[in-house]
Amino acid sequence: MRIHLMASALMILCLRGLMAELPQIKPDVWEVKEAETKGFGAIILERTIRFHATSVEHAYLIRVLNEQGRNAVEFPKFLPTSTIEGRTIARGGVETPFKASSDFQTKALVETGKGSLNRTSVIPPGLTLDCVVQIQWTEQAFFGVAGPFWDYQVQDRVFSLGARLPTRRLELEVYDDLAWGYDLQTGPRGAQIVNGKGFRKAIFKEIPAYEWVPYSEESAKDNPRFVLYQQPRYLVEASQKGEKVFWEEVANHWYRPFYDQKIQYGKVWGAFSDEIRQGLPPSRQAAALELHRRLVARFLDVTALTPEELAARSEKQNKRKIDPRDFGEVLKTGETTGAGLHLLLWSLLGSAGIPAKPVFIVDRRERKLRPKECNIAQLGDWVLMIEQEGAPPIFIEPARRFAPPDLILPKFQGTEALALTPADPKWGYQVVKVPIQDGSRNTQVVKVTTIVGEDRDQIHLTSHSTGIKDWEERAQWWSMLPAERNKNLKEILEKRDAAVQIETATVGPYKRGPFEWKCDAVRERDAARHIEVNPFPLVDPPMDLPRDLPAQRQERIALPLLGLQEYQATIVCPQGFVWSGAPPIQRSNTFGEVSWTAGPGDSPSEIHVLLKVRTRTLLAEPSSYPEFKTFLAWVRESFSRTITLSRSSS
Amino acid sequence: MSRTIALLFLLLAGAWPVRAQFWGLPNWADRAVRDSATRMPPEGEDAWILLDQTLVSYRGAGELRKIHTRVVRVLTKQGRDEGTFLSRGFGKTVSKIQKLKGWNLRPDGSTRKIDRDDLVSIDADAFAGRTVSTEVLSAATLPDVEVGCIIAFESQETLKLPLGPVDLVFPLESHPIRRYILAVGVDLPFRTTSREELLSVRVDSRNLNAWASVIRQSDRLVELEDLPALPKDEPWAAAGLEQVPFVSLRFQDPALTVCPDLSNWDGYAKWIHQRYAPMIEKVQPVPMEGVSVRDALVRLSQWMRTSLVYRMVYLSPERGWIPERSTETLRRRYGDCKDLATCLLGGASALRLDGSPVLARLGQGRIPGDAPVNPFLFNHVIAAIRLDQSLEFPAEVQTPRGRFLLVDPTSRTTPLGWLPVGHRGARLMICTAEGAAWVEVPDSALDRERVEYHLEGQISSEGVLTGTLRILESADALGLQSIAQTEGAKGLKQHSLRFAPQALPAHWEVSSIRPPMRPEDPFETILKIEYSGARIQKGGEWELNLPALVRPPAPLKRTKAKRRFPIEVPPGVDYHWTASLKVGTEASPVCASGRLATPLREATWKASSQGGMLDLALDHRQKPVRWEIKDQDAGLQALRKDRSDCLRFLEEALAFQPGQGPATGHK
Repeated sequence: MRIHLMASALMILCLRGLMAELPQIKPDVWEVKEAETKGFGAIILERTIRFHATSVEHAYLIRVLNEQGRNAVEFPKFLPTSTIEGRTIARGGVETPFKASSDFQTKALVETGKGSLNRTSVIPPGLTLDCVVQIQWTEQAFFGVAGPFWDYQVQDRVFSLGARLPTRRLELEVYDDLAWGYDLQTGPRGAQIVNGKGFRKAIFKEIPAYEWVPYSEESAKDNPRFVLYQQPRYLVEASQKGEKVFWEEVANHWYRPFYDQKIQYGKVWGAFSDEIRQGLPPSRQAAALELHRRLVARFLDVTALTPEELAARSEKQNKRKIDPRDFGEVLKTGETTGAGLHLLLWSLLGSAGIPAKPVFIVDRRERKLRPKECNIAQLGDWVLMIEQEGAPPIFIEPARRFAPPDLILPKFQGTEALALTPADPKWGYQVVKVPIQDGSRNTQVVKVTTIVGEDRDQIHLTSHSTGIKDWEERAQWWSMLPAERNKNLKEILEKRDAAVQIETATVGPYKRGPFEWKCDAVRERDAARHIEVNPFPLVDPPMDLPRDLPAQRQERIALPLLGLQEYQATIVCPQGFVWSGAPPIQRSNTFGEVSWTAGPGDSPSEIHVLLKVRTRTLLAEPSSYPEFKTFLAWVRESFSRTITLSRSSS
Repeated sequence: MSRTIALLFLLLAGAWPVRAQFWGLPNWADRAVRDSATRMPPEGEDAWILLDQTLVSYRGAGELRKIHTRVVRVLTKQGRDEGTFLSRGFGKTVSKIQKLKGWNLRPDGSTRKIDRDDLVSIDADAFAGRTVSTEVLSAATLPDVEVGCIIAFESQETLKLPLGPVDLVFPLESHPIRRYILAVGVDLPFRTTSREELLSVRVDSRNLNAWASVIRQSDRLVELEDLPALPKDEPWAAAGLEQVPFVSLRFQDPALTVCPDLSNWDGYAKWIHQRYAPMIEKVQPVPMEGVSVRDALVRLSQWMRTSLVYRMVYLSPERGWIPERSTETLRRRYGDCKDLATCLLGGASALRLDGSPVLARLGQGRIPGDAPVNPFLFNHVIAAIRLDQSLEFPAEVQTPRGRFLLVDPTSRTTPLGWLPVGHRGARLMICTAEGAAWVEVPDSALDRERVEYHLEGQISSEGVLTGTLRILESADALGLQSIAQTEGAKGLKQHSLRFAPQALPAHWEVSSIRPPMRPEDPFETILKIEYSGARIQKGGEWELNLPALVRPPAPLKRTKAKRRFPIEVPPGVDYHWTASLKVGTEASPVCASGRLATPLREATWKASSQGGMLDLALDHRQKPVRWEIKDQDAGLQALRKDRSDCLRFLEEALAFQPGQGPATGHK
């Protein structure tokens, strides 16, 4: 209680002491027109961020012009903060300063027996439909300490400089007392850079408001960003010498030891290596893939077990600590980890004379690789690249279960990645392009048979997936036991159509073959003049179809993956009903192809419908937007088509 | 001897697995498991609560102590959530978990335990949008919970609420309960100003008979067996206080002079009036001289609706019940329901009008006439302005304590003199200085929800519709007016897309927005639209696919389980839709006129065609209807038939034949 009172008193003193220091507001703030807010109703006229070693200072001057803008003025909850001060000024000069006792709240964000992390909320008072809000605060931070000498847990913080409102002017200052590295990404609008005594400043103008757009990704927006990253102490010097020195140092002293050092081969390694490499195909890439196939057949990755596999093992087995570098033990037990599989493959490839390069890939949805940003934390997953003359390189993810290891997840395709080039005496590095795979291995085939009745339909549906589609669907049910998967599938399907009763739903077999799920269902039908049949009930459309798309677009277009979605429907009509046919759809543009055909089936009462949607462009520039909208409209049109059965006049 | 030893060994070995099955749990949990051992777990459930027991003791000086014990059997993976102890409190000054122990007895016989050191408290506002409060979520999770585990928790919590030692308990949960026990007692410490002989303890329960298979009750105990899980997926469920089981507890302690008198409603109402009175400061944010009282109140209300924002900010626990001063609400320019009501009464006092706060319950069923006295029955506050003579507003009510104008200042779009439709059927308690005045909200006091759509345009031979859709909305019936205010044209466009017949229309833009000039005027917006598929070939007919048409009700799932709640369908929005469309070719409606009448709705349809123009009109109104639990089969059948009839009606209304021809009307 006493500490709480003291903290409150200190807070009030800080606020009172500093209230007078808010900058003067220039009269021209009242000249701002609503059009400048670009439909947001408010605009950030000035914003300042100053980065020090142990604090970050923030200041905002916001002009509110209507109710929408008033609603948008909301400040984040502040983590440990030493000072917050602010005021609202309405047109006419009425000023409402922020009061400690009634406009702020400090509360524990998280509290455990070992301590707590507080947060402070500020609720700006006095907001009107025509006012100015001014606020500044200082938050505690810890950028004054470089990372420990040897710690694989480096971190970074990304500050996206776009806000929910448009920004007229932003000044970002970085002071020299920072021990973390930083990278300023100014975006296509650029920034004016000013070097001062003990600091550097970047001035941005006219930053648009951040808005989410369908089929876009963060890294493609080119919004200005500021990245602070923690540098391991021993790499600080190298980072100051430029990207070449830095990444060579990383290659040789950060990653190389994992591959070269402390591997305990054990007594039987030699025999094992010879035996498993026997009869490999002559081509490097085929040999690498075959070697990987043999490895996963021999060794269990205990970090990637399904729940039923875990349940079948004892607690002792599941809790056993595994050292991936102890090959002797791995050979004895047949168990390793994902990192262990990676190392095993690496070592065996080396023995087979197949040079493999470790490659560190970056998730395109969040960032792009920037080698000049000497920041290890920007690197994401790691794979092995196998090059071969006359063929594009393949990228093997050794630890991926239930999917071909050379399938690249779409979020990594079309990016640049950092490849290490093993050599003696010194490893090097290079930037490589991760290709966009053509999607031919990614398929989903849905087969539906609907026996139509006048008051209910019987539906039988199966879905088979391969490639990335297989992997994604399998991941959805990974953490469940078989009975739970079936129950979950039933719930998902019943949520999609309230008129449907799912009689059976089965997921799997889970561990082998293309991924499959199936169901039998009954759908009640209401009496109607015509019988309208949805050829493809209970399945999601081949692509996400947002309700609407913006008229214009600045961002690059990114599809989730390339592949083929095929839907085959057989509709068995009831007696006395006929179908008068429907014209086919056959469309194609740079984004892909959409075809819809329907015709008589094997018997007079059957109708066959076939819908195919193939996508072939993963990433496209905004100039392709009109084509993209057209493509989505085709998908919507074809997927929503129904078959209308009318009573026969005879 | 060796035979004896062998026999003893066999006996022990045989007994051991039975004992070992529940080894590791405390005795009270062990007993609960044994008591249910002969019963089958309920079918289709994710967890089964074997015991939920709470002992509530009054400790004097307004403090309650709750000792809670709970035993759960995890039946499916979704039931593993029961492995987390979760408690919502108002912050350390009001509520604190003093003790906690948890046990997880796993199917393999091993046990995991946690205690108070494992408790993590999280700011509850992190999950509450823009609300700022003192609320805290405290949680502790048992490790390694899986299907088949027996979970047990024992906790002790102390509470000292600003309203005193009172609570309202709802026994039903998302999982069924085998045995539920709620016991109250008095446990005064040695040094206390409270005197046990002067205390009054009240335990009132409602609606238990319909839910529990066995009920044992006394003046300090409620014991229930076999409570089902709270029903979900019951469409149109009348799930209010007249149906759900609840228990009201209160300890009336004369030593607590700052807490309300809950011996009767008058006592509580007076206490509320006394707490609000000093906060109702005279304020005049807009000029009110030289106009009639009626016009001055309208002016005040209009100013408040645009200038003050409804927002919940509670920097201390008392703020959940005590409002801010009127002047402070004006400084902040925001407030919750209590603050806005107090501010309005402050403005009314500048016109020399007295007023009182009114306690209400929104959205969770009306307060029954025989409800026990308990503050937690209410979740909303509005204002009542006392009138010596009528100002001829619909929301005026005459009570034994005088005539009042009821005003809900939290509704941005409801003009003064009406109440928003959320108060339909409600019982409100006006808290005057003399006591409580209960009123029933008359339907005539409610703002009338109405919407008109006017579509004009043309449909090409390829089925593309281009045109304008004009929407006139009253009483914020569709939420468009409030969306336009808070999110502008962009937000309005997004919300209006639900009227589009399909996703991704080629064009859908808001071309104008016109807020109401006078209270009785509707909110108007005009959309410019273009989309394909407006005309679909079906056999020898077309079917029109047009925006903003009435949607038929969703299909009802057939379930084996009987409903627990009555079926109650509220009245719907008055709906009027017209279209004038150039189709460029002769077409005759299959039905030139039609009428639909079911227990749930009435609708009429008119269609005419001349010279390539179609003129269409649809009027629709959803009617209020209720079926009690005993009539649920008839109700469900009526709901299904209503859907069928509605589908058929719309199908026939939108069907056209190419060329001229006789059109028939039908019923």
